[in-house]
Formats: sequence, C-alpha cells, structure tokens
Amino acid sequence: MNQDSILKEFWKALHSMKFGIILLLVIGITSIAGTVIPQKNPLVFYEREYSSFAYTLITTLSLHDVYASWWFITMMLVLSLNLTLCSIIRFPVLFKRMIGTPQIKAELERKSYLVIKEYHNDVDVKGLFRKARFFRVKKQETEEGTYYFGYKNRFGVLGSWLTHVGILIIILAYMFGQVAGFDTYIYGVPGVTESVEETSYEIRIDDFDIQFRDDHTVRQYISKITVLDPDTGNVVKGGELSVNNPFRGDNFSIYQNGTGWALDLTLERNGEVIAERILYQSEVHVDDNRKIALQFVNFFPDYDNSIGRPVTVSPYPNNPKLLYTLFYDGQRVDMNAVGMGEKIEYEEYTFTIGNPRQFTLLQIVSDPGYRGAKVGGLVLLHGIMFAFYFHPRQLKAFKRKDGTTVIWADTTVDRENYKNQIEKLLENYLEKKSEA
Amino acid sequence: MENLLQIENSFFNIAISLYIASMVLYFLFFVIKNENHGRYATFLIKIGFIFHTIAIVARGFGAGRVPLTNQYEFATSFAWGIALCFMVFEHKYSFRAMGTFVTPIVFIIMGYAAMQSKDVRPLMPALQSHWLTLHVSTAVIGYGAFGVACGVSFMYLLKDKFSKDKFMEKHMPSLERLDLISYRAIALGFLFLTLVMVTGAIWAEQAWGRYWAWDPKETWSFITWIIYAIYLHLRLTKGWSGKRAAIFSVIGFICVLFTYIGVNTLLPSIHSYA
Ligand code: HEM
Repeated sequence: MNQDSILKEFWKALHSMKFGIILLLVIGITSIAGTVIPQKNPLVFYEREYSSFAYTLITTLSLHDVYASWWFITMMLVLSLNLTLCSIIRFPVLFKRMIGTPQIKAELERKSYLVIKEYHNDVDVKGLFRKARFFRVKKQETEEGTYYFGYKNRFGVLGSWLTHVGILIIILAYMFGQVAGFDTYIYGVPGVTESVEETSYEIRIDDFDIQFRDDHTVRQYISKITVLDPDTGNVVKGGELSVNNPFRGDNFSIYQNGTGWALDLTLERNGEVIAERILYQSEVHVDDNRKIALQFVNFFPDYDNSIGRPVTVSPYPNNPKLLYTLFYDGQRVDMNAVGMGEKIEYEEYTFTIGNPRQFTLLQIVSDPGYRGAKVGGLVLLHGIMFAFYFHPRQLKAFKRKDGTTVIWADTTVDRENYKNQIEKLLENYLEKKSEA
Repeated sequence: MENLLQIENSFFNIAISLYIASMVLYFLFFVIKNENHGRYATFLIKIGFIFHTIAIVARGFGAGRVPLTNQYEFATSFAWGIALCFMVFEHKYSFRAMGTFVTPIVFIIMGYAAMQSKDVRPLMPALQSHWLTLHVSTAVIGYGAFGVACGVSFMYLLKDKFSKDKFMEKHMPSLERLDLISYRAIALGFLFLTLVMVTGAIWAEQAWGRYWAWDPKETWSFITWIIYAIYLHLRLTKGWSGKRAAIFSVIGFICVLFTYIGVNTLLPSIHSYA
C-alpha cells in the first residue's frame, strides 16, 4: 500500500460506522473502571488500599479520576470527531433523500422494486393515495402520462442524523460546562453574610427552616437568602430555596446541600474575653498562638445517655449538649459533653457555649453548558423518535395515456411490513373495486 | 391505610402465584406443544397482571405517594413493566412461545421484589420530585421492553444454535422474525432509556446541582445505553448483524439488571438510598 492509500484508508475509517462501534465498545468497557475503583480520593488512599503495582497503574492511567483522565477525554473527543465527520458527510445525501422527487424516467428503468403492479383498467389513483394516507401528492405531467409521487414521514430520514447531532451537542456542552463553570459552597446561620468565591457577589442568609414530620423525619430544608452586590450594597435578587427547588441567579444556581448545628462560643483568658464567634459543627476554634483549641465533635439536641452511649431522642433542642474535644499545647486534654451555658474550663481558659441553632450549607454552581445539554437532549430524543417511529414511505404511480397504470412503493426501513401493507391495499382497494 | 397495604400484600402474592402458574403453562405449551396450555398461560398472566396492577395502586394510596421510590417498589413495578410489554408484544406479533422465555424473567424479578422490605418509609427531601416520578416510570417501560427483547434474543440464539433441530424449527418463528421483534422491543426500550437518562439528569441538576457526575448508577446506565446503541448499529452493519446483535441484546439486559441491582448492592453510589 502506498502512503496515499494508507491515508485514504485512515480517513475512511475515521468517519466509518465500524470505527464508531468499536470506539463505543471501548468507552463502555473502560468506563466500568470508574465504578469499581473509588473515584477522586486523595492519592494516599490508593497507596494504602492497593498493591504497589495497582497503585502505579492507578496513578499512570489516572484511574482515580477515570472520566477526567487524558485517555478517556481523548476517546470522547475522537468519538465526537467520528460523529461530526459522519454527520457532515451524510447530511447532503439524507437531505436530498428527504426533499427530492425521484425522476420518473429513472424510476421506470429500475432493476428492482419493493412492490410494483401494473393495471390495465382505469385506476382511481387519487383515491388510492388517500386510502394509503398520503395526503400531499405531487403530480407531474409528461408526454407519456401523469406521474404521481406521494411521500410521508419524510422527516424520519433525518432521525439517526438528529440522534447523532443531539449526542454531539451534549458531549460538547458537557465539556464546555466542565471547563467554564465553577462549583463552590457557603454555610452559615441566619444573619450571616458570606462572599461567594469566583463571583463578585455576597449572599446573606436570611432564614433557615427545617420541617419535620410527626415521626421526626425531615420533610424539607428551606433557606431564605438575598444576593448582594458588595460594591454598591444593592440587593441583586432574593428568594427561597429548598431541596429540589434551587435558587436561580443570572449565571449561577444555589442548591440546598446540607445542614448541621452551630453555637455561639466565648473564650475567656483569666476572666477577660479574647474571642467571640459562631462555631460550626466539625470546626475547631484555635486561639492564643495555638495554645488552646476546642473542636466541635458532635451535637445532641435532645441528649440522652441512658443506653450507655450518647444519642438524641428527637431533633428538637430540648436538652442540647455539645460533644467537644479540648486541646492544650497541642495535646488532647479533655473530651466531654456539656450543656448550653455551662463552662469548659482548663488552666487559664474558659469556654462558654450557647444559642444552638442549625446552619444551612449551600452549594453554588455555575454550569454554562447545562442549557446546551438540555437542547442536545431534546434533539436526541426527537432524533430517536423519528428514527424509530416515523418511517419514511413513498408511493408512486404512473398513469399512461394509453390507459394503463403502474403503481410502486418504496421505503428504507421496516420494508417487509410496508410491502405487505401496500400489497394488501392494492388487493383490497383496486382489485376488489374493479371486480365489483 | 393499613387495610390498603394488606390488600397490596395479598394481591402481590396472588399475582406472583399466577405468574408462576403462567410460566409453567408456557413451558408445557412450548415442550408438549399443546395449544390449550398456551391459551391458559396467556389468560393467567393477564389475570395476574390485573392483580399486580391493583396491588401497586393500593400501595400508592396506602403510602400516600407514587409507589416508585425504593428497591421493593421499583422491583415490583419493573416486573409489572415486563409483563405489560410482553402482553403488548405477544398480542402485536401473535407469538406465544415468547412467553416461555419472558415469564421466567418476570418471575425472577417478582421473586427479588418479594425478598425486599415492604416497609413504607417517608421520603427524604431529594426524592420528592415529579422528575423522579417520570424518571422511574419511564424506566419501568424501558426496562420492561428490554426484558422482552432479552427473552426473544435468547430464543434467537437457541434457534441459531440448534438450527437443525426439528422441534425448534417447528415451534419457533424464523430468525428474521425473532430479530425483527427484538429490534422493535429494543427500539422502544432505547427511546425510554434515553428518556430515563434525560429526566434523571434534570432531576439530578435540581436536587444535587449537577446533571451528570459519573456516579456508578449513572455510569452503568450509560454503559447499558452504549450496549444497546451498539446493538442498533450492528443490525445495520453487513456481516455483524443477526447473532452478534442478539448477543448484545442479552448483554444489554444483564447490564440493565446490574444497573438496577448490582450497583445498589455492590458499588458505592448516592443513588442507593433504599
Ligand atoms: C452513543 C452513540 C450513538 C448512538 C446512541 C447512536 C444512535 C443511533 C440510532 C438510534 C440510529 C438509528 C438506528 C435504526 O434506525 O435502527 C443510528 C443510526 C446510525 N448511526 Fe448511530 N449512534 C451513535 C453513534 C454512532 C457513531 C459513533 C457512528 C459512526 C459514524 C454512527 C453511525 C450511524 C449511522 C451511519 C447510522 C445510520 C444507519 C442507517 O440509517 O442506515 N452512530 N445511530
């Protein structure tokens, strides 16, 4: 093979369906890796859990983040290229097939037909087309007679093409969103204002409510927020959000993501207040040149220790207690549960806690690809519907001036079915009618 | 409310019994080729289906919500979907022997449902969404169609392997017809699987702030979707259609089952609430 024909072969393969199928198969099989290997953990996790050989494999092939790995993205890009080329190449052919009217001369000289019948009596062509549910019929007068051309479900021709274009749009929109979007979190109790990374906005948490059912399960988490422009202090937009009902900003959305408890904390050194703050669940307050630290380990709104370990009886703060760990000079010196207003004392330090309330954890996401992906999904669904349920059908007739008529039919999909249908119709409509 | 759940329990048991009876009759019909057995089998599965439907509806009212939110509810609906698609395809293609291969699938999934906890638990907030309802009901139809396709493709492979067997030749439709029926079932399933993924993505965006995150359940439905896409293309490729396509149809249904059962039990996923 010379170089020219190798290139040609390569080009042919690149836009071929066979190559596409193989690529799909490889993508399908390799994506299993990301479902059996836990994803996106810190590398030390894999070092600990896997053999050194497996660990080397994981790091070289990015098996800890399969779907963002170079080889997976490359495969997706090659698939996109394959789909793009095949869509570009097929479109003119399909389009012609969709809008074109076959030339009568070529039609009459064909070698094979799906169905063809010739009649020597007078045939009610218009009635036949109507009976077969072809409502828009083209008529062409020629020297030898009249050519009737009926076509329905033409759009079905583009079904697979739309399917592929829909997939392409989704892949590209997804990649664009991954590159151009961001994803960040804020948390706070009502009254707190937080600035949002990656944007120029601040968010004020106005209220946070958790609705419970009688059996203490959560019905809904509801946050009320206001988006502020910190430069002017103006309100940009305010509103409510809950699980499954995100807040929609101009270029980002805010989602109810989680909750936890928060407390007011005061730290005194020898009776003098040196810190006052809100301490959130699992935070650590470190102070006085790292000499003293208090960790918020857990919170029990309705504390009970009668079964030997601390539990909460209800989600309501009837007997709230904080489980904490205290560090002094880098050493853990105390771990205990305290009630609100009680003091935690150690050497010269005294912590006081109180005012328990729940904070809201909000996720702020910008995904500029989402709209495109939705459009792609819509195109994809329509494509599949056209491909499977809108079979393009042609019915043609030629009424010669000598009184004879030829009728023939064509379709590209579901051929047997259509053939039977037309044969039955001709039999029932034309042949019975002429007998009558 | 308690009454309704008791009704669902009894009707579920009646349905599963009728399905078993129907499965046995379909088997006899296929082996001893007695038309009557086949007719009774079709009748029994229809009656079983009615009981099954009432059971699901009763559970919906008893629980005060759409009964499509945990492993048990989805398993019983999944079996219901296969039974429904089977009856439609059996009627449309007047092809009884299909029952011999599809009713065992219905039975296995009903059996799996019977092993799940039937407790009615209140819904966590993320599950309270109309998109979720759409997501799961499209899955019921899609997976049902794939179940039918799997049974028919299995027949294809059997017939292909024992092509000289007199029995097979007489009692099974031609390979072309089997191929056509499984193709029509997969076409329906593929449309619905795509709907499942689109509605699931819309729901995931609202509930978790991302529409696609390669979560194991998402990835496995993607793999399933790819397997059926390969099936569709193999049918269009000279030399690769027929047997190869039938194998992919069976693999596809194994992926469906794995997506539904395996992912929840074997792999970590935020989808495994139940
Ligand atoms: C995830 C990827 C894909 C999906 C879901 C998909 C889906 C489909 C569907 C639903 C059809 C119509 C099948 C039928 O009418 O039975 C189709 C046809 C087709 N596909 Fe794909 N496709 C995918 C990828 C590809 C790739 C990578 C290629 C390679 C170039 C390709 C080439 C074709 C061709 C040429 C047809 C038309 C066959 C015909 O109408 O004669 N597809 N595809």
